[in-house]
Amino acid sequence: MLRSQRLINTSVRRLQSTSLKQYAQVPITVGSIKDISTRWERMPTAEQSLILTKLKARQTQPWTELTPLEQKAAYYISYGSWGPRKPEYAEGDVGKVALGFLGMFSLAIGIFYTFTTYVANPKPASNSIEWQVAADEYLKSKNANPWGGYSQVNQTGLTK
Amino acid sequence: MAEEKKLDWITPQFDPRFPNPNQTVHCFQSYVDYHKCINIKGDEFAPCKVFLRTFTSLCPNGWVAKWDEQREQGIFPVKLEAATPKEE
Amino acid sequence: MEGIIELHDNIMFYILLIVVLVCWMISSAVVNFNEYNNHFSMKYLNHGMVLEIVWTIFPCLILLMIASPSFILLYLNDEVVLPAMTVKAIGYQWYWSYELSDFLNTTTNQTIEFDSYLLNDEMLELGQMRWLDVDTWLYVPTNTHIRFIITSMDVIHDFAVPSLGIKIDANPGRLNMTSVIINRNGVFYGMCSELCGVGHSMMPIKIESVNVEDFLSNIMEY
Repeated sequence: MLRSQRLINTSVRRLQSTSLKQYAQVPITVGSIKDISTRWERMPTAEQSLILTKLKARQTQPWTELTPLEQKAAYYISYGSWGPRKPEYAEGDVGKVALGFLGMFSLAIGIFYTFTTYVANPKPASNSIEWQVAADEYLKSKNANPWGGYSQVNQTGLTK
Repeated sequence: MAEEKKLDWITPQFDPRFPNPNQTVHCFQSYVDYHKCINIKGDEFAPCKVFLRTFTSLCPNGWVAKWDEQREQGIFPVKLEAATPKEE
Repeated sequence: MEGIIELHDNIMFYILLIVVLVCWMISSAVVNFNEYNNHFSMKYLNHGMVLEIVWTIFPCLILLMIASPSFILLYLNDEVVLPAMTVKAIGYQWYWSYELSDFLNTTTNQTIEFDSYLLNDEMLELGQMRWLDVDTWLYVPTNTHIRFIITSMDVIHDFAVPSLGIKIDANPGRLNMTSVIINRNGVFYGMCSELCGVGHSMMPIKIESVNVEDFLSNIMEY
């Protein structure tokens, strides 16, 4: 990419001195810049640099004097989605991304449940409801969180 | 039984020499002061007890035990004797 | 602890102010200056001196207003005025040891010290908090100005009791001081909060505050 950019730049510089004036007045032919967004990236470098030179020359004129096609081409070459502006994922890649995410997510859930059911088994005695009721009683008698009230039993969450 | 055990409840108060959260020097200085004090004035001199209470309240017991041991071996890093040196 | 909550409320006011302001600015920018409906020509809008000054000074003022109460609190926390008792909490690998050396037994010249170990799963009785309950815990009197002296004998530990608002590093060779007034009877749990080795998770702190009379009679029997 860098390399071709440099090529364009040098050829532009070479052309500038000789042909800037002659390109400035004449509109670029429709055929060479029609549908430029689909063709630009497959163009040979020489053609690209020629179009660049012509457009550069044309843009020395007031913007309103350019044909709409030229305006579009100038915009696309400056800001269009090619080169470094090309999106990383194409339109059709949504499914692939979603699938990858779901795969990793379910893998993580699988690992978690494998550990809780096979490795961390039996669960500690304090996980039983009677135990937690007793713990609540104790903490209530000791004024734990006197404003909101303390409870392990009524809590919601995975540990329940 | 509670009667015969006499408990004092005194805690060292704010000392303007040691206003910071770091009380290490407070503890150590009191320990040094106490032993200097009793070396000059003798064991029973009541004002020395202030230093005793300060360093027992502030220093971990492990530190005090270590320093006592160093004093007995004579390798405590601070001179504790009175100006006219006695033995020990 | 009250100071910490008050500071939180104080700062929350400024946070709400900022949130409302930013949301309003974003939404009005979206509504008034979008692709189809734009009031300005960006071509001629290059520099706004007044705007620059406003958005430099305004955050400065907000930061100052947040900083001043928090610095006051910070330096108030450092002061320990008129403590009524001193508790030494000493971190070991991996348990806490407490010394209450104010209570010098004048006949035997002994002070109170005890270690507080975690109750493991086999020793746990019904209703005890797993990995939070210890075998002997610290009793302190309510409504009393307590000074904690915190140190360590091996590696760095951290004495943290969130509901009392204290979190103090226990460094070997240094005595850190903090103060606490507990306003109600109850139990307070905490944990070591500085990674100190394999048993880091197994050195909880349990403090129970009781009335001063109960505390003194407890101490007498000790």
